[in-house]
Amino acid sequence: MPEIDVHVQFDEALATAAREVLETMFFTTVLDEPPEEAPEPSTELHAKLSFHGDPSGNFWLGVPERTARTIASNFLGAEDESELSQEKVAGVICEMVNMICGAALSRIESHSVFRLDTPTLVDEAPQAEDGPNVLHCRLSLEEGDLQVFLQRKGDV
Amino acid sequence: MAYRVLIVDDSPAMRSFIRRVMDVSGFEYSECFEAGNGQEALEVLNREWVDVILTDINMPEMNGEELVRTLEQDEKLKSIPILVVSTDATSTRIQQMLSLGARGYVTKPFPPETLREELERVLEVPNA
Repeated sequence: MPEIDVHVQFDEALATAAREVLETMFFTTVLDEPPEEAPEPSTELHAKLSFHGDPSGNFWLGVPERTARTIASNFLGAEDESELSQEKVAGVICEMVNMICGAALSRIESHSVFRLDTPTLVDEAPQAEDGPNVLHCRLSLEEGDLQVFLQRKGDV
Repeated sequence: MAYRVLIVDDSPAMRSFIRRVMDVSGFEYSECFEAGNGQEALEVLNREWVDVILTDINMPEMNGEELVRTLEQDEKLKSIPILVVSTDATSTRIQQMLSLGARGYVTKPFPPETLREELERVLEVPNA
């Protein structure tokens, strides 16, 4: 019987949750492969939330600012994304963090109950270390890559 | 019949999104009130009658669980159907909220038609 790598399964669950949230709620297409032309570099927005339950941990998301604006525009149905305030873009990205984290936890730890803190934008990029407690996925969007990390505290 | 709706969510972006989903899905509502947590929801309900409440769970001050418990103890307000809209798709949480008195539970992410169908179901809309 083939050995099942639980860590890979969890990484896939995280990626599936992120893709489903992006496509269903933010009307954003996730590409199967990175675009042929690399998008122009853009400053990144980073958001974080902590979750509490069994297990507890932290969740981070990093997204190019230009991509964040497009995602926010899709979510709010804005006709002109350049008119969206920074506050509105931040609010949408925080809601996206909440949804991806919640959807991922529901897939990975389906019998636990979690409480999610309010997501916030943070200055620093994710500092999660590699290891069995850290899940990571990178999704290619037309405007740039989106990355998420989920770090569980304690033994897994 | 057009319904009066109360959306309870601490995220203004999510409240806007739910309004938009109700619009595009063809759900008929005449008034839509908003509250950022359970306490604000009770203040709205003190002055306005609504036909249905959509509430998140994780919110500051008074969360969705406390809101459902409070409404269930209020003779006047307990008849208002409550639809939970949450990222938490764990079976434990869904069962907990339904046993407290919520009539329905929609997990995010959801397509627009799912929200409309659940709204119509908890409101017992004829021919829905």
